[in-house]
Amino acid sequence: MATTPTDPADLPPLTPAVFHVLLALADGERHGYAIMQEVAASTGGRIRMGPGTLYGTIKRLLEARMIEESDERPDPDLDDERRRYYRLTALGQRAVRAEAQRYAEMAQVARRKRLIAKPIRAANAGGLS
Amino acid sequence: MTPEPTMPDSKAVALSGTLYQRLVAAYPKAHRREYGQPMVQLFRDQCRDAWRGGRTWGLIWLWLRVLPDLVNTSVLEHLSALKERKTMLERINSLFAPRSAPRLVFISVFAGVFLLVVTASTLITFILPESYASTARVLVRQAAGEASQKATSPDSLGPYDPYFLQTQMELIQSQLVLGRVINDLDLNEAWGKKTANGAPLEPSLTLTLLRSRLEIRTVRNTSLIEIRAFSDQPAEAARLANAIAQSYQAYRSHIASTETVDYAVPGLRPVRPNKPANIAVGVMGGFLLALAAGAAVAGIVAWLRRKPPQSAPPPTTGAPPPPSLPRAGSPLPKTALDKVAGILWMSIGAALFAVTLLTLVWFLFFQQASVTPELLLLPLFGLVWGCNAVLGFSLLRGKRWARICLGVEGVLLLMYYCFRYGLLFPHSPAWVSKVIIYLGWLMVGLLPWILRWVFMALALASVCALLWHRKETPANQC
Repeated sequence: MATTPTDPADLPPLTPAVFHVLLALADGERHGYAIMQEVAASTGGRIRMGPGTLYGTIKRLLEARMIEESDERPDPDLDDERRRYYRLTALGQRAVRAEAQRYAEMAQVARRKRLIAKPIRAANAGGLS
Repeated sequence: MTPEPTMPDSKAVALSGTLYQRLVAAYPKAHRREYGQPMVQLFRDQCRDAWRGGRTWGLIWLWLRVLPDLVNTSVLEHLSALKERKTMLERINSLFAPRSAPRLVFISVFAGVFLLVVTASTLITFILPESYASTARVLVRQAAGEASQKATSPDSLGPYDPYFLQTQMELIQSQLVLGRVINDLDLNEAWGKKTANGAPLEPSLTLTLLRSRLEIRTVRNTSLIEIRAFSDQPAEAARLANAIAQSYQAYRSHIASTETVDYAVPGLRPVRPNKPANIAVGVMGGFLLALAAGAAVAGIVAWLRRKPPQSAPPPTTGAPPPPSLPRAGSPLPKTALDKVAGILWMSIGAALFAVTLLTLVWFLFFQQASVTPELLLLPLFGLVWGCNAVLGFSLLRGKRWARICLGVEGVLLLMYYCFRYGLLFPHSPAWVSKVIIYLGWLMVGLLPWILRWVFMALALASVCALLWHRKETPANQC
């Protein structure tokens, strides 16, 4: 059987679904519905993951040991105890950082080639202040 | 993070949730088991959001997004499951892994018992001495004075004795007729040479031996009586049958005319043992016994090797979750008593079921026994015990009704024995205890699970078939 890579550099580029789920968990542990909401919010509603995609992705991330199930509940009073919470593992954190860095480098290349505009904050800082 | 429960779900939301729950069956079993419930929960949350956002149209848009997702991801999961399927070597390894010990025990016990029973039945079949049969048929006419004084024919045309043929059958097996055969064929000497080191047999012993080698029956809807004799030599079987026919004819010669319409001829091949039938019964019985023994031993091993119960999760503060009403078939937490009673009941039920059916087959096909009321109850008894085996299995699976069923049956069995042995109401008529036991059987059959109904239907069908068989065979009315 194939062994799970422990170095994010050994991993192939992550799929958008995997990256979004890892990004959603970067702030802290969440359950499935909260992950779905976070993905929808962070993409402006453009990506709405269905239950099949979300739990298929979660299954693969668990197998790759990038995330793990958490037994803790952030607020037990308001929560349904049947919900499962997930959080990033150390490998998952390294993987999402490496992938974000890869995206940032690609964005820099695209910017140099004038395919995309400069970051808004930089533009605001330079032009409007 | 979680949607606040404001009001009960609308019908559309509830219906959507139920429908999605059904559709989750499209995923592989392992995926379903692990993620089915969270997926359904997530979908319900999405439904509530969609309902709040756009009511019916919101739900329609959600379904339009979710359905392609479901089709796509279920296919992907099936493909993934195919890749993860174990190789044969891994399967063999997992078979011998310590955690699968009960399965290994089941397979070992099943294989051992099955091979043992099949080998034993095959060996016995080939070791049993071969027996040839020859049949002579005699036409019996009733003389005018032979009819019973009280009996009259149903159409009142003349005297009629409903027991005439039966009486003649008993007469053929009487000392009066068979004694002459023993003398004519000198059976005391002949059989003494075979069985008693050459010394002649006692006449009473020869008579008993001769009776055990005879089968007398009527030909349906005629006045013909068949005299069938068995022997390890074909010629002797024919000689015996013809001699008995002649002896009976001589006995009746002064009463009414009797004639032998068919003389016995030596058989070409042995009639007993019926090798294919014996081996088939051995295979069938071996399978049932092996199944029962394997399940019982594996159940005991699984129970002995069970994991210690996990500690209960810490109680959450705040409002407890709403209690859900248990359904009739929902599993209960199993106690040790449940497991012991379940294994015991399942083993006893399966063993008695197998033994009863084998006994029935033995009596009907090998002994060709007459169908008596006791024999009629045999299939019913066996199939009810089959029901009990299912009951034990249900108890092992933690079904709620199995406890109730076992309790009811236990009470009725206790009542039955109390009435039968006079511990309760000693002067009550015998039919009371019978009614109680039949009531118990009926209740066992009426309790849930389709397999039990099938068992009961089979039991009733077999009883009806035997009743019909009995009605169609007047000679067997005894």
